[in-house]
Amino acid sequence: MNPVRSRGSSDYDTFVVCLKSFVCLQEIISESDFHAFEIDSIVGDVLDVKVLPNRVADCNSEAGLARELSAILEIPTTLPRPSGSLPPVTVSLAQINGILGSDFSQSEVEDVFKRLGLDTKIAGAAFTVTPPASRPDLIIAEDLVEEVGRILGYDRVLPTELPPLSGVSDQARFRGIERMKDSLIEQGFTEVSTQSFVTAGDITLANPLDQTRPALRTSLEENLQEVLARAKQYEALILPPKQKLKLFEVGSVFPKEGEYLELRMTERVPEWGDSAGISDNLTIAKLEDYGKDYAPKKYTLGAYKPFSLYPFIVRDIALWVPVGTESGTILEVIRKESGTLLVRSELFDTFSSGGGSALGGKKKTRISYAFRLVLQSFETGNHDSRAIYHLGVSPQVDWNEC
Amino acid sequence: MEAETARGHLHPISVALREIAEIFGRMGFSIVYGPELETDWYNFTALNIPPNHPARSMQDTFWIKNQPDHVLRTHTTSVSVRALEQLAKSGGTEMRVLNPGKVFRNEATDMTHEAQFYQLDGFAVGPAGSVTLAHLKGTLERFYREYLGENAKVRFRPSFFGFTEPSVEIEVWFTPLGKESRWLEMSGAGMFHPNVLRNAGLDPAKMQGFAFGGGLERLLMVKYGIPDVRLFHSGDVRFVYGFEEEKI
Repeated sequence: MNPVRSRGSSDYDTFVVCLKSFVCLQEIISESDFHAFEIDSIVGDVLDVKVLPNRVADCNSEAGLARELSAILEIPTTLPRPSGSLPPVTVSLAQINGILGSDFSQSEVEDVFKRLGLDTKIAGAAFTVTPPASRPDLIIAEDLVEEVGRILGYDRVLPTELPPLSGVSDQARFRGIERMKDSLIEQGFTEVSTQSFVTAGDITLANPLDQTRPALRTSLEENLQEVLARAKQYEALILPPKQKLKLFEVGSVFPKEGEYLELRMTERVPEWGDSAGISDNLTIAKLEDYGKDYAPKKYTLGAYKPFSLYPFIVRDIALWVPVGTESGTILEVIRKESGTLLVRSELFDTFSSGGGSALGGKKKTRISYAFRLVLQSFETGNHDSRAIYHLGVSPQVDWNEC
Repeated sequence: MEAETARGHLHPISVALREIAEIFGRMGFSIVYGPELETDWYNFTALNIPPNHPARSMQDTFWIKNQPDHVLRTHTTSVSVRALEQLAKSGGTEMRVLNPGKVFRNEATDMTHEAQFYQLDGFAVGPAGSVTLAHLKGTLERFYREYLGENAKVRFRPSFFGFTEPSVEIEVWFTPLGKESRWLEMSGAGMFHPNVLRNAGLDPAKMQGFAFGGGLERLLMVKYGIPDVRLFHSGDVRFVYGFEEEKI
């Protein structure tokens, strides 16, 4: 059996062991899982066990696995002790508890090495283990510490908080980057994240996953333009009328001169001054100073709401109502009557008349509200007629489609 | 009516990292960055994963054409080694670091696998005996409690990674949205292998510490009920707008 597996769905070599089932299989599964031997499946009395790469030397045989399970489950075994010997490894009780943060006793540790069938000499609080030839994974004291933790169980390692750090934590650079983002968010930009792989670039992968995108991006531009074009199709779904779709991305790019962190926007930010372009090299920017006293804005997000893959319809609708009627009242009625198909609804224009202009001094008797409605189904594509019919059951008003 | 400039939206990864950085910041963790196009040394060999080490087969690596000593980093633990080197150079005796960033794995993509994703990786080191596996449990339990909710708790399952000894899988008890509480595998962790400290120029007889690392998207998927990991880096704005957002 080749101990190194290059590819495959399982991370580890998978071996099968037959165990005479004199203990409950469920117990074997649960105990094995928590002692580094995950059981993939059981068919009859055959267990399919995942063996971690550090244990292929001894657990690539049924006898080896049976020996390990006997140690984990504390079932006596008649199997002979493994032969041969490797250089001895010494660990002290203080070292074990000092690494694990545990409170294991001398006798518990002694028992672990006994259960594992390891040849152990004890001098005071020091244990010297001479591993058999089949345990080349036991080389340093830490390897023995792991055996103790694994067998006695990490549930006995109790959560302990770190003491306060004597220095201060430094998140200035991170905060500088986030401050840039906050500034863009305020200007109406939305952040996107795209793939690092593109069709052509200066650096190419030796083993690309997608043969059509074998190169690393030299700039965020190609992806950002592609994303903007796609986003424009969904603009009405996500933005209020009259708001312009503006995007930005912060990501690593790989030109031949060397990797750097790029900030790129789909358009300039006028507020940033005439010299500011649509991209910036954040690797050379002095972000530490910019961020050191900044607290990035915090948001809470609600549960994710999946978007429908069906097309949507946008309807701009204007209607006259007597002065004094609130637009919110009408929107409420529209929303109530439109049901689940209505995914967005906003007022986007108001116009008063009745003997004068909206700004005129004469008394106005009626007012026109224009609403943008976006309709979309999760179950089927919307048909124009159906959407209109749907709106037709709305309140008794004069519909004037814009 | 004048068009007002409505706020744009922040990507959920950024929203999450701000909260995570703040929680770890309260526990003394700094944030550091490193290259995504990494040398074989920092990604593997310095992390006690020399050529032909079995742990290399556990990670499907993207290699670079005509640069056999370069890879796209498979974890941000590469940044940990760089940070430990800085610690060694400065002669310091303690350090707590979080290194969030993009990592790459050459594996087929599906709803739960992406070839590029973010990793939340971190470590704490101090004088020997001062930073233990119990501190790892305490640190992560506090993090998950503050991030996922008061009833979150952490348990360890023994595992194997080249750069830690002992090594554990972190499982978190959590109630995903609309589902029963259960144990979720969240990251790999352990105590730095002495060889890693040595490779960074530190003396493992005098220093020890814990390290942890896991996918960030996975954490967000369970927290917010996101069904498909490929949404994160698809560039689709509908994903970014798929959450009710409230500014605190």
